[in-house]
Amino acid sequence: MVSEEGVFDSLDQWIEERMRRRTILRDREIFFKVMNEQIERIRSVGLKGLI
Amino acid sequence: MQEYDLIREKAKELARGVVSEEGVSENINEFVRDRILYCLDEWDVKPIEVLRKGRGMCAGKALLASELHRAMSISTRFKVIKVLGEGGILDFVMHQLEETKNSSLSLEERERVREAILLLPPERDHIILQVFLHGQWRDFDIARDKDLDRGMRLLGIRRERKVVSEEGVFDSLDRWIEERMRRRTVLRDPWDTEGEEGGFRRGGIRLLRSMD
Repeated sequence: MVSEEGVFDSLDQWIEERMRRRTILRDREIFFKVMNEQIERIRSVGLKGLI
Repeated sequence: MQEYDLIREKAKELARGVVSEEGVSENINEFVRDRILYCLDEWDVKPIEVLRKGRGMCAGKALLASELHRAMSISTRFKVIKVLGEGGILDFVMHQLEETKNSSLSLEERERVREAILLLPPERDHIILQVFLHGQWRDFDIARDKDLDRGMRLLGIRRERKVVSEEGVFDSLDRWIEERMRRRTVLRDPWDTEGEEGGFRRGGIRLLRSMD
């Protein structure tokens, strides 16, 4: 065990927060993926020298 | 091989056959600018990781170039500036998201990326490498590789950086990056109350400045 995070009568709020964190991490991943795919597309245009 | 040894070996390779500090610096800057491809990444990627991946953002590339220079006993430091992002890569991506229908993204995912871009502040942090040559500090912007730059030109994406302000000059970026990570970047946990400066809140997700 690393640490005790807290004691709760209900886990509803904790679970909601946990799910929100997971969604945000996934959104970050998607954002980086989309941006870097587009950067790669732009680079490939530069590499070929054509549109 | 130790991390520093790898960087020193690379620096030696780039300096081979070159006599002047200026020539060594030119080789290092060309290598980092064009062979380490620009990508969007976190701010706190170590120079050795940038070298291994062959990709990096402005901060990671400047840090790698700095390590390579310092391995050859050439002094460097970093200038942090704010630039306007308007008309750049983000605008292009935004347009692509609106135009492209056969994306691998779901409509919801596409909308979230669009929203993330829309909520970014107009000013972006950017890192310039400074190298001490012939008794003076010279600026080098080595973020964008030449193929990406050419692609941007051909596609009509604005390449010039409109500098809004100079945030300072630093011998080390460690503390700046640590602070920058606290107020980073695209999508951030709304429960975390640190790093409000420069941030935006909407729909329970806080979006903060990023790139490039």
